[in-house]
Amino acid sequence: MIKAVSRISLCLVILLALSPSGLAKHAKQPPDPRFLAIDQIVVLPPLDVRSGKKDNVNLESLRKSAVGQLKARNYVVRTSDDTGNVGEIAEEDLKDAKPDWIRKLGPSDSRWVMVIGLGEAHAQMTFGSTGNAEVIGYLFDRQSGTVLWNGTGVGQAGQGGLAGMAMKGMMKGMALDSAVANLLTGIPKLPKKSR
Amino acid sequence: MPVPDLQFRPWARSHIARRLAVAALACLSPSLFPSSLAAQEPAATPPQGLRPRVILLAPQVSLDVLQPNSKTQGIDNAAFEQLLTETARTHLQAQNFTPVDPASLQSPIVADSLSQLEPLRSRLARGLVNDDARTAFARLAAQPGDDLILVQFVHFKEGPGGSWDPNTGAITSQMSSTLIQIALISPRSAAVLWKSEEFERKVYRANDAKFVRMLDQLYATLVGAGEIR
Repeated sequence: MIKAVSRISLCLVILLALSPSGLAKHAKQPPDPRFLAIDQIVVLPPLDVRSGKKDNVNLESLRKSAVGQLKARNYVVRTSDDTGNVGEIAEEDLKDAKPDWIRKLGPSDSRWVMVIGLGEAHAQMTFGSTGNAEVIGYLFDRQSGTVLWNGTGVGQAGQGGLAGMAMKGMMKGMALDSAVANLLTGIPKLPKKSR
Repeated sequence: MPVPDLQFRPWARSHIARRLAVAALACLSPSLFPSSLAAQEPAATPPQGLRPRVILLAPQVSLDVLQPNSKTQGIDNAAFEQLLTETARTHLQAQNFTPVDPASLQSPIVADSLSQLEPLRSRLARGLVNDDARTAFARLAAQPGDDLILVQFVHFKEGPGGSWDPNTGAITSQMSSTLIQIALISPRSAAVLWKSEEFERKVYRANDAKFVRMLDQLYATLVGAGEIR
């Protein structure tokens, strides 16, 4: 009898702990309302801010990867090659962006504008092969002239041995995809919008 | 008297050949050589007062840690700035320039213009002169003298290191790097007279002999003062 009571009590305790009120502490935080307010992100052409000798990289594939990651996070995304009235964009313009500069960035009919920059993309042969990539990203709110988000993403890929050596051509691309994915983890995922 | 037939007089031929050789040597004076050969002579060192002055902007040294929350050793900014400044002085003096410390300049307009250039050092060091820089250069150019500006930028990136997973055979290579960029700019024309850059995939300490060698190599192509004036 005592054993049955204690068993039932234990089950009740477990049920209480797993109840919605019990899980309230562990519930996911809602996204920042500033991100919830985003109706569309315009992704501008990627910048090449690399130093030193530069390996060939298709910057457009970098933008495609970023667009895919943003869509997976339930953002409405479009691309545009219109950088607005800011002239040539340097990395320092992004890092030290002033409100007046932000308001001139991108198409005039856009509000949220994203710029991705390629900081590093390199593959090398060792006993195997490796690839490294670094990307930077900025999300601007043109209306308020502010930086909503910025981050850095790093990607590494590699495989040892003779098989790895044969894979050198793939390493840079794999590292770049990984870097973009790591970069955009800093952007909160939006709830799916009902259609 | 018959003219000696030199064709059949060996002693005459050798005599004429010697005279021709002496005449050729007399003609082979440096003034007749092309300039590339003339340049082998050491150029005359201009007097101290005629050596172009070069204002050494304080070097910008920065560190980016690519992985947040990772342990970083940091960098000794002061040591790097001192090393960069001393190396610049040595090489500029070797090329007949007069390095100038900005703190020694007494004109408030010059001091203010140089302070406007400080946030632009990373751009200027890679040869990118924007509108803000042009405005500051115009103010400098309006001052007496024809000073040049030397800008130095060093950027360290500390990234994840290399690794090996014995279970899967996956490997990675390290991602740290050092970038040094230096440019010599004329405020009068807002033109970059000379620039140099070195990039290495590792991070150095200021007392590393390899870093010092990197700096010296940067100045290997520095134009001499005589080629600017």
